[in-house]
Amino acid sequence: MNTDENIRDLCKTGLYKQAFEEIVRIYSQRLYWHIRKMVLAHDNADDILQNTLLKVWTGLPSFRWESKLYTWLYRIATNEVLTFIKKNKAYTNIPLEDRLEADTPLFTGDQIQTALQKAIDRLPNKQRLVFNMRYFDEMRYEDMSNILGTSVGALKASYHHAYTKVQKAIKELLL
Amino acid sequence: MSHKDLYNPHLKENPFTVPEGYFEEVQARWALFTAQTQADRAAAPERAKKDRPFVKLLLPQLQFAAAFLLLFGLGYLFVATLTKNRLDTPPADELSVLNEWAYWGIDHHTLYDWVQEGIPENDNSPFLLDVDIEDLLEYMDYPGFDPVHLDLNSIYDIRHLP
Repeated sequence: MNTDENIRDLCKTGLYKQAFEEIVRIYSQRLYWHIRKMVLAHDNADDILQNTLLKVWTGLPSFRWESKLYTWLYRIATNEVLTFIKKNKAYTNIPLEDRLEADTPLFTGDQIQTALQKAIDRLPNKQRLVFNMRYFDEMRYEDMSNILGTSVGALKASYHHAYTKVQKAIKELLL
Repeated sequence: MSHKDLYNPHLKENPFTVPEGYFEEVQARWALFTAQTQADRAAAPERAKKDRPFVKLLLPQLQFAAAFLLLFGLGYLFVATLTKNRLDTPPADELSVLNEWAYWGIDHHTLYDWVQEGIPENDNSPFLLDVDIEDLLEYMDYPGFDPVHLDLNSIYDIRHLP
C-alpha cells in the first residue's frame, strides 16, 4: 500500500490526527521548497508553510479524495504563495540582491546560481511558478495543470516562453 | 554547452538551505498542535453540558431569528426572480478578443505557434502592431482552454459570426 492510500485509509476511519502527521512527515519538505523557491526568504516560507498546513488540517475531513492528495496540497500551497505575494508587494519589490542578502546564511548560491535566481525573479508570478515546477521539480505538465487550473498546452507555451527569457537574462547578467 | 546554459546540471542544484533541524521542528510543532486540538475537542462536550441551560434560555429567541431570516430570504428570492429578466446588461463576452482576432484570420493554433516560435516579423497586418507574447499567454490562461486540443469546429463557428 502506498503512502497516499495509507493516509486515505486513516482519514476514512476518522484518524485525522495520524493522517495529518503522515502528511506533514511526507510532504512538508516538498511543500516548503515549492514555497521557498517563490518567496526566497526562509522566514516567509516558514509562515506560508504554516498557513498551508493549517488549511490542510482544517480541510482534511472534507477532502473527498477525488483528486490526488499531493495535487490538493500543492494547490493550497500555491494559493497561499500567490496571496502572500499579492499582500506583500512592498517586500517583493525590494531588489533581489537585498532579499538574498537578508537571507545570507541560508542562501549559498554562487555567481551563476544567483544570476539564475535574478532571471527567474524577473518573470511574472504565474510564469515563475510554471518555470520552478518544471525546471527544478521536473513535474509533469498534467500534474501542473491540475494544480494551477491551466491547460497543458498553455503551460507548455508558458514554460517555453519563460525558459527562453531566463536563458537570455542569464547570459546578459553574466556578460 | 556553456556553463551559462540552462542545461548545466549545476543550475538545478538547490542554493537554499534551512536552519539545522528545521524540518524535524516542523513535525514536532504540528504533532503538538494536533494533540492540543484533539484534547480541546475531547473537552468540548463537557463544556457543552455546562453551557446547556444558557442555550436553552436562548432557544426561543434563536427560533424567532431563524423564522425571520427564512421569511426575509423568501422575500428576497421573490424580488430577485421578478427583477431578473429586467436586467439588460449583457454577459461578459470572454471570446470578444478571439472574435476581434478572428477577423484577421487568427485562430488558437496560430496564437500557440506564435508563443512557441515568436511572432513573424514580416507580417505587417494592422492587428500585429499591438500584439504582445505576454498578452497571448494571459489570453491562453483561461481555465479549461487548451490551445493544442481545441475543437476546430468551434473556431470555424466563431470566424463566421456576423
